[in-house]
Amino acid sequence: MRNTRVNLKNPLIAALLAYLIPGAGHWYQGRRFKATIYSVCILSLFIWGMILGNWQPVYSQLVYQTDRVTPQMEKKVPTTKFSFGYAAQFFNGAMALPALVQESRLRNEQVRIDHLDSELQSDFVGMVSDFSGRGDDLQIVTGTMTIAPVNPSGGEAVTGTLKSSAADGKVVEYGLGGQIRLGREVFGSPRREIECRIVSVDGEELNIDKTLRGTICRSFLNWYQAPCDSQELDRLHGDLSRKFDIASVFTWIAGLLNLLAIWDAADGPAYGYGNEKPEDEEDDDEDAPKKP
Amino acid sequence: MDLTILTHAVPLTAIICLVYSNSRFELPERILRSALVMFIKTISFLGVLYAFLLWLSR
Repeated sequence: MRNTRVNLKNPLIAALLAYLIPGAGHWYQGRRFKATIYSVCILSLFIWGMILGNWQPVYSQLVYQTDRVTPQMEKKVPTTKFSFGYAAQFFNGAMALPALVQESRLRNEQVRIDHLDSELQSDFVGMVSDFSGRGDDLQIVTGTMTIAPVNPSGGEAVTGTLKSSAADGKVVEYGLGGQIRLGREVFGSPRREIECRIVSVDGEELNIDKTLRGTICRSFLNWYQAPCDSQELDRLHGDLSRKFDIASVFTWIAGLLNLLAIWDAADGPAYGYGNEKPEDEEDDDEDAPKKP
Repeated sequence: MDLTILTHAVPLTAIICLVYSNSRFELPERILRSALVMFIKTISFLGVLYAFLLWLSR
C-alpha cells in the first residue's frame, strides 16, 4: 500500500526519471538523501563494472559465425542471439540504452567489405602470409598503417604503406596494394579486421604476392556497447580472465538495484517511513516490515 | 587463491545493503542503521562461509 507520508508527486514521471538516471526520480520528488544514495551507489557500481571489463560488458546481442568468414567480414545481416545479461543491464537506463542503438546500427548498416571510402591511418597488429594462405610462412607484424583508395572518391583498389619495427629495431616498410577487405564499421570490438596485399618490402617489389591480415583501430562510437561475437568474448576472457565475469555481474546487479529504485520512486518505501512504533517490541529483526 | 578478487565483495555488499535499505525506509537514520546491520550480518555470513570452504580445501 502506498505510504501517504511520502509525497511522490507524479509517480509515473518519477519512475521514468528513476529508470533513465538512477536517483533522478527521487530528486524530482524532493527526496534528496535517497536520490544521492541511489545515484552514487548504482552509478559507481555500473562504472566500476565497465572499467573492470574494458568498457565491454554491456551488449544486447551476441553475433554468431554462420559462414566461413568471420562475422566482421560478413556482408549480410549477421545472425544474432539475445544476451540474457542485458535483461538485467537494461534497467541501468540511459547508461545501457546505447546497446539498443548499436544493435539497430549493426542491423541497418550498409556493409561494404570490399570498399574504402577515404584514407585510413591506424596502428596495425597482424601477420604476413604467402598468397596461398596455407600459413607456411607466417610472420607477425605490428606497426603504423596508412592506406588510401587508388580512386580518390573511394573503391576496392588501395595503395599505402605499413611501417613496422623489427626485433632488432630496424624499421621495415611494406608497400600495400591490391583489393581491400575491411571489417564492418559497427561491431563490438575495438579492433577492425583488415586484409590486403603486400606488393613491396623496403621499396623492392616482391616476386610473389603476400597477404597482410590483421586488425586496425575501430572508433569508440562504433564499438561501444555494440553486439560482439564469441571470438571477441574469448579475447576478453583471455586478457581479463575472471575480471570480465565480475564486471558483467556488477553491471547486472547495478541494473537490478535500479529496479528497486524505480519501484521506490513509483510506490514509496516498501516497509514504511521508518519511525513507526513496532507492534511487537520483542521483535529483534531490524529489517522486518513494521505495521503502521 | 586470488584475494584481490575477494576484496570486490566488501564494497559490493555495502552498495547492495545501502540500496536495499534505501528502498525499504524513508528516514535517513533508519536507512543507515538498517544497512549497517544488514552489512554486518552479510559480511559475517560470507566470512564464516569462506573460512569453512578454506578449511575444507586444506
